[in-house]
Amino acid sequence: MEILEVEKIAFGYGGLQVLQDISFSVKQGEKVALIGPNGAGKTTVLNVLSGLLTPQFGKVRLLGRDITNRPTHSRASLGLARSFQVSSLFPQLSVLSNVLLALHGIQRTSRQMIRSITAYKSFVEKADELLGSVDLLSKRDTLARFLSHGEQRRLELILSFASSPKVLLLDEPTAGLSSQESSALAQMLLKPAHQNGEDVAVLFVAHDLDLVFTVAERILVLYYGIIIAQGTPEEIRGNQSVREIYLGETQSA
Amino acid sequence: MPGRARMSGRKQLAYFAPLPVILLFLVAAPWFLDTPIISLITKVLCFGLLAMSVDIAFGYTGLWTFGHAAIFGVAAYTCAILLKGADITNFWLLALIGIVMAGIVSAIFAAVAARSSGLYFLLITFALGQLVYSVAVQWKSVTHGNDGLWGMPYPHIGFSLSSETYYYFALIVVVLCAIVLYWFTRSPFGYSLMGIRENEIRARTMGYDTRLRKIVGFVISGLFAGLAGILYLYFNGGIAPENVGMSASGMATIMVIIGGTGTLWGAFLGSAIVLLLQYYISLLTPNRWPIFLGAIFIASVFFARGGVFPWLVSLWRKVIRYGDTGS
Amino acid sequence: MDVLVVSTMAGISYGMVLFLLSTGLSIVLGLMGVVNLAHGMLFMTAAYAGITVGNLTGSFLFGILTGIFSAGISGLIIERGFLRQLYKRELEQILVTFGFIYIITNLHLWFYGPYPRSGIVPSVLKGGITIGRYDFSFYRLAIIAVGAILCACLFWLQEKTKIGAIIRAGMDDPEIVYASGINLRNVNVGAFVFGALLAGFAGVVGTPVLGGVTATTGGDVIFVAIAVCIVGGVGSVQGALVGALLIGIVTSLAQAYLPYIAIYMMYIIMVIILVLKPSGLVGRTS
Repeated sequence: MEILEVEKIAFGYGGLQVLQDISFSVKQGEKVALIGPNGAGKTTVLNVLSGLLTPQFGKVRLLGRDITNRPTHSRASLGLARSFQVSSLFPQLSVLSNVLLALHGIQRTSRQMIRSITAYKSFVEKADELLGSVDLLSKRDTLARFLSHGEQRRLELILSFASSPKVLLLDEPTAGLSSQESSALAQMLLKPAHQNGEDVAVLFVAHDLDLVFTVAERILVLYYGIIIAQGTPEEIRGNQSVREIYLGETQSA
Repeated sequence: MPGRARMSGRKQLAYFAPLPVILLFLVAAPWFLDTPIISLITKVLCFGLLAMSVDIAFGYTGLWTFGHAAIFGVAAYTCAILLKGADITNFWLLALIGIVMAGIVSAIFAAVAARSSGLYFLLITFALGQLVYSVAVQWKSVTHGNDGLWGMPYPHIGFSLSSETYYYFALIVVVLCAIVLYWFTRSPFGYSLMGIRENEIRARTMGYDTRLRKIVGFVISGLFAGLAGILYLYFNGGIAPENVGMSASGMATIMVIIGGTGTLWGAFLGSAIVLLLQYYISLLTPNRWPIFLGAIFIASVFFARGGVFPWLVSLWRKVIRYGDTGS
Repeated sequence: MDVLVVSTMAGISYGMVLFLLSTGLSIVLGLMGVVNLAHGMLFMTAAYAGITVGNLTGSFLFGILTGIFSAGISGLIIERGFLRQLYKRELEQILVTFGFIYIITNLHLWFYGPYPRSGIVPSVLKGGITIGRYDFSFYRLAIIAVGAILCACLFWLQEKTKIGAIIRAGMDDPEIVYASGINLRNVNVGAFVFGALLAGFAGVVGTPVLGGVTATTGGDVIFVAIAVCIVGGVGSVQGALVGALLIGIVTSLAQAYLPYIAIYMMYIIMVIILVLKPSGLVGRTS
């Protein structure tokens, strides 16, 4: 079942055409990697999908619904979540508050203007659980700005997992993580997701080819705003133009 | 408060101890302080409430408002005009209409300014505030221009208030508002406003309709500003354009900055500091006090970074910790 | 018709004064992101100093030089002494410059007294000229001419010189400028002081156009200057010119035809621009 469908997306500004004729889809629970050299437009794809940029042409469909012109916050309520390449946190708020905000984002709660945020026990428990899964529980009350770089990346990730999304867009999730942390993340992505037993579909942008070949069921290769190849990891590894352009001679595959 | 290390229950109690002490002081004040001081404290209460409302918009949500005095003034003028012109004397009705007007004006300000942020939000609210000020000055037939509207009696709330009892009325109203605002800032909605301030894009990807929340937050702030205006109207006996324009808005913002943005109580403290300083310095030098006041503003930036309230809080925590290790 | 023509000319001359006052503010705001609410103070202090000295010495030129000098010094003190430590701390910039407004306004009140001072019009520029059916004042014509010349020079500076290019680059991407080995900090201070000098010049020559200077002038003109920046767009000479002329002419016409709403006009224009084109008429989209 296609959960995310992208059809002929084109995006440009000024004199620059950043994306052209981008079409692909992601099935429920599928893990898809988006790779390509720097400047290829990978983050732009995520920005269009999450609603931060409006394409000049093309359609984006989530669960069959056309969300091309939907504002960002409304996509979140449909189950689309995203992480950022540079950690995008709430620096002056505590780690716990950061996660609580992520949890409350898509949940309508009663008396939300007057009841203390910590009084919603189920949310606090869920937040602690998430923090525990990335070993940040001890930093629960620290302000986000005082976290180390790696800790900030981990917080960044759980902020996107927090809403139990159906589709997760990750931008360079292992950037800044140690190799241990990277493999831990890879394991997290491979594990079937928490609630409903439903698998989360993940579209992730990455330079870390270890992560890509471990986790991805399918790979999209983006080069100067065009998808030059799509396929399974073996197909991509064997693809001549991809090897020339991107994987280069040094890859021994 | 977020980000503070957990303290033991007893220490937490000690941490909050100053609050009831201050409250007690305020309740008992009329017994041992002279009338002019009580009058000054009442003024501090009114402007403290205004400053707290500014802090909601500015400190918590990150909306640089420079037109809150106009909202404050709209509520006050509405009540004064209806009392004198339409002969409505029911205090509760007047207050309700005044607050509603404040809400409407805030909604207009916010709707116009919502797409902007930071400096541009400041400039828009400034322009709108000045527009309101211009109306107050120009529409002489209704507002009496620069003279203002005077002769407000003390409100009748079932029984008539007098200058002695009005202090307690104001105190009760402001304490209640402070409690409500405090709850608001700790609620999910309140936190979402802080989230918008910290990182609006992230907040949006989490599912928050940031534009709507900014408007709602601003309107809530405006309602309390309006209430402050009404309180001040009755305290002052009248209202004039100088309470509505840019210098009043600027003063409210200064109070928040001096006290400490995003702390709520800081706004109150800032109001007390500014008004008390203004009062005492002008007693000493009736003509030169602005120089000292200006110098203090400048000094507070370099010596009490982040505001006086956080500075006091950190001092107090040191005291508590010292007391703890002492025993 | 007469009223229209005369008012428009008065508006253009008023606009020129506003242009000279606001260019500095606009460039500094665009370049350094610094909110200098005390900019209006520079105008006022130059006006008072220039007029006093000019009257004492009988020399208009000397008055202008004094005014420019006093504005430059004051600007330098404010920037180097205080604002330079508050880079990127806009809240505190507001607080500090607000404090300066209080201090400087009161100092002027103390030193010069509460009565307004009228500006100096040198005898060679007194009187007027009649073209067709209309009477124009020499002084206002001279202001327009001088303003236009200065505007052309400033525009040339902005577009055709290396320093102008550095400043424009500094507004778009300061990091690249620093990385190119250019000391942008010094350029910033230079721009700040230059803006102060312009404001000082505006203060001395503009007072006759404004009808006099009082201790509140500093506080009054800063908001007009801000309006100019909003309407025209921050960070460019042409933005300041467009904003200044628009506000100058509209205000002048309003005073002539609809005096009751003249006071609103400036704010109405501001709101319209902010809603329709927030970056200003000539502004770069943020």
